Order: sequence, then C-alpha cells, then structure tokens
Amino acid sequence: MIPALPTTRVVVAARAIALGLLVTSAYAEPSPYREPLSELRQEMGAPGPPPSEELSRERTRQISRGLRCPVCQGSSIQDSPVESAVNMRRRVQELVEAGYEQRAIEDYFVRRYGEWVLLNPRATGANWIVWLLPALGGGVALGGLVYVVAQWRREEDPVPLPSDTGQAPLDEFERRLLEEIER
Amino acid sequence: MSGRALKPNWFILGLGIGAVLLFAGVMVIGFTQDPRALDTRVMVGATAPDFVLQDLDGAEVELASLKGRPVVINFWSTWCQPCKVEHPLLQRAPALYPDVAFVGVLYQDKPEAARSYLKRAPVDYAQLVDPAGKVAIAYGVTGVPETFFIDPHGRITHKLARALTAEDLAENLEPMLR
Repeated sequence: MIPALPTTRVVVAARAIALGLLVTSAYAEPSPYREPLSELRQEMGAPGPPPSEELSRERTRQISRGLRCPVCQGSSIQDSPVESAVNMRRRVQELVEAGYEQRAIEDYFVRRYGEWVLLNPRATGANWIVWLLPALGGGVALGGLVYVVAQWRREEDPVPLPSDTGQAPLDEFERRLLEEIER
Repeated sequence: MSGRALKPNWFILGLGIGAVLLFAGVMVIGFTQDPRALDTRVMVGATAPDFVLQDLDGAEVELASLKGRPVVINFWSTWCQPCKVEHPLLQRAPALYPDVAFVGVLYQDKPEAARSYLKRAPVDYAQLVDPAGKVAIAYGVTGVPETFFIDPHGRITHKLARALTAEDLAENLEPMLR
C-alpha cells in the first residue's frame, strides 16, 4: 500500500514536476550533464551538512539577492526573470542544497565572473575606498559644519551699534523694525 | 568706510580642494571605465572545469578525454549575430589546426534550431547541448559568442568575449603547437 502523503508535500511535488517540465520543454532534448563532484570538492572544499528545505530556500534567496544578473541592468539574479539569471539561481540552489555556505558560493561565482558579479563589493583591498569614502565624506562635511558654526558663534560684531551696547536709544528705524517683528 | 579684510582659512580651503579633487578623481575613474565591460582575464590560468555533455547526436563528450592537446571551446547560439560572423572561420578551423580539439557548446538555444543551422552550414566538430546552462556557468559565460583556449595541460590560456578571428586562432594556438 502506498502511504498517503501530506497534501502540502503533494502540492510541492506537483509544482516541482510542473516547473521541471516547463524548464525542460524549452529544450526538447536535454542531455544529461555530469559534473565531476571531486573537482567541485577540490575547488570549494568539503561541504557542510545539507540545510533543511526551508533554510535552503531562504539561503538561496539571500545569496541570489547579492549576485548580479550578467545580462541585466544592475539587478540581481533573484529579481530577474531572464534565462541566465534563472540558471544561476538554480546553480546557487544546488550548491546550497549540497551544504555550501554563502561565502563559498559567492567565491564560486567570483572565480568565474569576477568581483563584478557581487552587487555589494567586499570590503577588501581597493574596495575599502568604496566603503570608507561615504563615511569619510560625511565625517569631513560634519566636521566642517561644526567648525564653521563654532567660528560664527565666536565671531564678535566688529563695530557694535550704540543701541546694542545701551549707549544710545533706539533710532526711529530700529524702533519700527522691532515693532514689526513683535507684531 | 573700510570693511574687514577677508583672510582665507587655509585649513577649510585645503579640505575643500582635497574633497573636490577626490570627487573628480572618482568621477574620472568612473567615466573612463565601462561598468558592464567583461573582465575576460577572470578564468585565465585556471583549470578548465571538466564536464560530460551529449552532442547533438547523443554521443557523450568528456572534456578530460581531450587532455594532451589544445582545446578550443566555443559557446554559441543560432540567434546570435556575431556567432554567424565567426561561423565560416570555425568551419575551416579544424582543417587549419588538425592537432587542436574544437568543441562547440550550445548556449540558451534549442537543439533542433542548431541542427537545422548546422545542416546548412556544417562544422567538423562536436556540438554539445548544455542543459540549464551548467557548463556556461562553470565557465562564467555571460553571452555569446565566447571562446576559451585551453592548453594541453587543461589550463585556460585565453578567453575571448567577441567574434573569433583568424588572428585570434593563430595568436592563441600557434604557441601551444610549437
């Protein structure tokens, strides 16, 4: 007797089959691709334990959001529907399911496409400039502002008006001006 | 009536000039580089990722089996115009370089479209089908045509992200054949 499967699993399986058919229908005769796993291990090291299905989906999304779609204008492979992005996303998923961590998977793509493939450049080498420059610019601007304001506050009126120092009564113009302000 | 003499604040002035120069420098670097330009040196020097794929007739081709002689892997498709430009050269290439293994990998294209195209313009080497673009990803292919030159030890010596020319073939293959 075939054990009854939970409904959600049946739905997920049906969707997976449908998606598989959809993908393979574009290429009526997909040929089996065999990847030498030993070579992958040699390149990426031994994978960790495979994550749960839910964690795997979340990790795939997270990593895919950080990888640039090669044929799009500045969008990630997570956000792009083009075939290259779909294929790369599928590759990320395979590597996640195999147990590889985010850094190892990003390295895999960087080795093939260059640092360019990372939407957020890593804070290493010359890339530090990209991360430091905004903070440095903000700091300099803030420092400059504080300095200028401090100068203003310290600056004394070189020729104070006699009315300011109480040495003379307000003239007609000053009196009317103050009245206008107070109104 | 004499106003106050304006004395420049050298610190602020220096800071301002420095900031402007820095900004100008970043802009110059930014505008003189194409952010979408491919770095074709990325895979150069790396071991060519091995694969086993089927050709259009269903026969399996393993890259490792070609070790010991230079290999040229050409990613192409029937919808790519530059691929059509380089195709006549690729038709002649196996005869020009009989000691080199040429391999074509179909990129985001249907096998029947390739078969029909190759019927009209045949080539004398294997054309492989790359399901889900796995080999294309393994080689960091971003579009077509892209051509990889691999030495007899299995190392990638050059990557070309444009239509191949006779000069490209000569420059990259002749040193390996000497």
